[in-house]
Amino acid sequence: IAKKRRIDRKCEDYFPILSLPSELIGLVFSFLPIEDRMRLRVNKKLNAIELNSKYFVEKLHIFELSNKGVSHRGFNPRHYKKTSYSSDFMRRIAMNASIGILEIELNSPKEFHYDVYNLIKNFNIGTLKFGCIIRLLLISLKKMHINCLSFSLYIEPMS
Amino acid sequence: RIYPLMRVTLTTSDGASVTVSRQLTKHSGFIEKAITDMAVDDNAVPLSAVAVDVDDATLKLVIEWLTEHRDDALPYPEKTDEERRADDIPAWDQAFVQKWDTKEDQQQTLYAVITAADKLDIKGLLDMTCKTLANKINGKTVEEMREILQLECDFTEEELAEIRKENAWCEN
Repeated sequence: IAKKRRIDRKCEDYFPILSLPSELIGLVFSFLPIEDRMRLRVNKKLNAIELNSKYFVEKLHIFELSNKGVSHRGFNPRHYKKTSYSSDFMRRIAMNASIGILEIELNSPKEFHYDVYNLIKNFNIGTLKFGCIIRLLLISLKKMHINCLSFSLYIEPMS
Repeated sequence: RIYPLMRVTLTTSDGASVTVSRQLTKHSGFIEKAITDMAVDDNAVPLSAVAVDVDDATLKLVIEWLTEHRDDALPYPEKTDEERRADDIPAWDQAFVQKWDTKEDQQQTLYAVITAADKLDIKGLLDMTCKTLANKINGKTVEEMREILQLECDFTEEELAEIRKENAWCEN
C-alpha cells in the first residue's frame, strides 16, 4: 500500500524542474554542495545547464589515501570508498568551477598523478596547496596560472 | 522615495484584486517598475491597478512572505563569488514553506511561488524558495532525485558511462 501511495503521489505531485527557465535551474544548482550538483545531472538538459553555470567552491580537498583510509597527514575524508577513481571527476569540476583553495595531496609516483598534474592548469584556483613528491610537481608547475602557491614538502623514500 | 502608507491594487491572472501597501510592493522590481511606468501621482490612493501574471492563491502566499519581510533592506544584496549555501534559511521562512508539506500539491505550490517570485522580481523570495528546492534534493541518490523530479534518463549508453565515471566519487 505504501508503495502504491508513493507511486500515486509521484503521478500527481512532483516538482517540474524542467519547466523552470534555465537560469533558475542554474540558481538551484548554485545552492547545492558539489557532490549533489554532480549527481543532479540526471538527464541531458540538467547536465548541459550544470556545465553552463559557473560556481564557486571555497575549498576542495583531493587526497590520496592509504589502505586504512587516512591521508598522509591524517585527514579523514568526507567521501571514502575502498576503490580508485579516474581523474575524470576533476576534469569535469575544472570546466566551470572556481576554487578558492584547492588542496591536493599525492604520495606516490603513478601514472594517475601525471593526469592530476596536467589537470591542475585547467582549474580556476585562488590558492593551491600541494602535498606531493616535488619532483613530479615540477613537471607541470610551469604551466600553472595561480595567484599563490604554498608547498607541503616531505621526503620521497629512497628506492 | 517610497510612501509606506500608499497602496496599490494588484489584479491576478484569475481575475481577483488585492490591495496592498507600497511598503510590500517596494520589494518587487516588477511592480515598482510598473508603477514608475504609469507615471501616476504618487499621492493617488490606491494607485491604478497593476496586472500580475500570478494566480490569486499564489499571490496570497507571496503577500504573506512580503508582509513578514516588509522591513528587509533594499536593494537586495548582489550575489558575489562566495560559495552559496542552502542551510541558512531564516526560521520564519522555514516554517512558512513547511506549512505546504501537508498540502497534497506541495511541490506544485513551491513551483508556483518560485515562478511568481521570478516574474515579480522578488529576489529574496526567489533565493529562499530555490534554496528550499535545493534542500529537497540535497543528499539524495540519483534514483531519489529522479523520483522527486520525475525525470527519465535520456543519456545514451556512452554518455551515461561517462557521467558514472565522473560521479564515481560521489554516488551514494
